[in-house]
Amino acid sequence: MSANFLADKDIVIVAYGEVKNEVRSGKTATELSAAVMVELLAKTGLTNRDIDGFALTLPLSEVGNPWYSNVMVENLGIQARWLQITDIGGCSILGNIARGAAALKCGMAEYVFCIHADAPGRMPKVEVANYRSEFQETVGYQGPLVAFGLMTDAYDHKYGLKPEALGKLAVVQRNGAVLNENAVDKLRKPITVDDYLNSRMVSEPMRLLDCVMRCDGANGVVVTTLERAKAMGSKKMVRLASYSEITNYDPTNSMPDGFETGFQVVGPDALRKAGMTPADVDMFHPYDDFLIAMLLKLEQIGFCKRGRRVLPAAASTWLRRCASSWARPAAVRCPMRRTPW
Amino acid sequence: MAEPAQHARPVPVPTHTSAPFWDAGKRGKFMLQYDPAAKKYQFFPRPVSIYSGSDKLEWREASGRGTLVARTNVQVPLRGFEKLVPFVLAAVNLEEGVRVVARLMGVSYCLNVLAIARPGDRRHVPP
Repeated sequence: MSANFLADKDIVIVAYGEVKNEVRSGKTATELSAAVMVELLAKTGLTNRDIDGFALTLPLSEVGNPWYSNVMVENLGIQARWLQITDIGGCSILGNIARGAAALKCGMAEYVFCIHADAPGRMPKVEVANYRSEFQETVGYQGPLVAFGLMTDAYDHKYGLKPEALGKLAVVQRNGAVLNENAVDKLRKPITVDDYLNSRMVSEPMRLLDCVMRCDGANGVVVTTLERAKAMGSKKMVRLASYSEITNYDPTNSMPDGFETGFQVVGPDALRKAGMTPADVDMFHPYDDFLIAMLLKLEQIGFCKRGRRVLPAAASTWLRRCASSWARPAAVRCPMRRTPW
Repeated sequence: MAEPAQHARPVPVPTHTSAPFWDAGKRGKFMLQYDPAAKKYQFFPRPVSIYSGSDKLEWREASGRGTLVARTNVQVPLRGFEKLVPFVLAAVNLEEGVRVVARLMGVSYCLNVLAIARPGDRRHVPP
């Protein structure tokens, strides 16, 4: 395993910004990013002329645009000496913080803005040549809706899965949205386990309330060195302690069981590098994905044993804590493998 | 302009790599890529072997037999599948050691009929 390039804890996040999530806002990813940048500049006292490092994620709404990052910096008045676009799906956001940290460590930039924005309400129709369009869509494989439907079924077969347990996870997840003014408005209403159980089947045994929904939104952070953060007079900051990433875990396994994934590598690895165990973690901020995926992350990172279902008490605890802060003591990212599941 | 009521189903656009698969399909044959160095099959078709990195790949006809490992009853259709819902998609481990996802024809989603195989079981999925 690799060494911990963040061991000195001298790379810090000094500001966080986000816009309200909306369904079909009509805005572009560039407009949403601009709103986040304005918030980050106000919070740090920096100007757009100070930004020399800029990391973006590849949005669904810009997949046909090979100049997305160039157009972005031209729109925002940023002269970038280090420009990065990351396309590892939902992992790109945290991945960019690590990439920005590496750029800072190498002296390639002084202030790295990591901005993630997407406006799937404006998603273009593009033809791409890959196995998905050839071998999945041709049989009616509706992307993640089918992938996670199959995974839910396989989990049920392997370990047994009580829908009520997933329902509890849906309820605590929704409680987080109720507390968050930036959550999508129509999701800011509490639900019950019965609401979950009565929600319609999407890819049986997966229900509507198991699913993530597409919405337009954006968020971002400012990453810099501890030295510069102190010079800026930053009072609050988050020190990065460790990071671990893996893509295309176990590539020669042509029949993966779906429950051996990269999370079981990067979770323990990031914790080890930070000198921590799962028991030391007070807050956990997973991508609030399809419910079955959250469950697998909890299991594989080591918060509970395999097949022990949702552990509603633990889930409630971390989701309650999520609402209070956004600090990330140890960071773990692992894209789901794109082949079946 | 109004959206058409029924969209066409997506059709594969073969690449140089996948063309042999689709050409064989037109002749009613289900072919898989085989790496003779690693003595292993792979699916989906790739330009190189995921096992050895070699581009010396062969095409071999599959037995058509496999084991059902998971299934889902699709009720929200992909564009073009509106009239088919609900339908069953299944993950199938083929005898050749690869997994495919296929639409199960002529069956409905039913726990009793579509039992998931346990290790050692042999439940044949028609080709």
